Amino acid sequence: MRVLSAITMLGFAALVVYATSALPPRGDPDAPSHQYLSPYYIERSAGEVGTPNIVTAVLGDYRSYDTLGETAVIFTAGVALLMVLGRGRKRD
Amino acid sequence: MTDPHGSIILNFIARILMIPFIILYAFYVLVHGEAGPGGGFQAGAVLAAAVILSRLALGREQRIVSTGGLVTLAVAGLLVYALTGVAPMLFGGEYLDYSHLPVPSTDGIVFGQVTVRSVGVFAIELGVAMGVMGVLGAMFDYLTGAEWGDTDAG
Repeated sequence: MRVLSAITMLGFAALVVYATSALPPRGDPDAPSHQYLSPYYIERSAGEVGTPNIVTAVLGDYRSYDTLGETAVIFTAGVALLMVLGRGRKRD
Repeated sequence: MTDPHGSIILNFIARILMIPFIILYAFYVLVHGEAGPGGGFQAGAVLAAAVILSRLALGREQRIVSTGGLVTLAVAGLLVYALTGVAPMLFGGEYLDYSHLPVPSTDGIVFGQVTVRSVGVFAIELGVAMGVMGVLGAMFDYLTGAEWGDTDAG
């Protein structure tokens, strides 16, 4: 069982490494995300959102669903940890 | 770990110098997230550092927040975020569409350069900071196995 899970994990790791090799190099100005997405945010975020920090504008406004999910993930992880560590603890 | 060290130097540096400065800096990071590097996640982590430092240095004498208070803060943070999303729906917008927030403004400007959308972004950043601070602080309390009661008056 342990060997099987190790092989599965190695398989997934190899898949991730193989997929990463197809990504454009870091900082490549010709990467697809820099063709239309980055210029869109840079040109419009000041007028549409009004937040000077573009990162905050993307995080908090354009992708606020994503950030809500992130917060929920952190909250869920914390609550799960508290439930595991709090087992057998006296309640008063 | 729950016993105070009793060192007057440690108490003074932690209580008078470090913790207020860390909390002040956390609020700077939170508010400055609008204009520069910073934001809710970072501010929450810095606030949790203040909570953990007070527990390490002052033990039971710490008077910042109890374990129950931290859990409440984590729940409240997520609620602040979710309700900031619901509020525009009551005023004709869509979920998380901050431009419909019931904030008094003229032409979408609240005061100066601050737009209504920026107010919404700040509200969710505040919720994120509360949530991260509560989760990190409560995790520390549960990992150390210490229950921190309600803060004494003092």
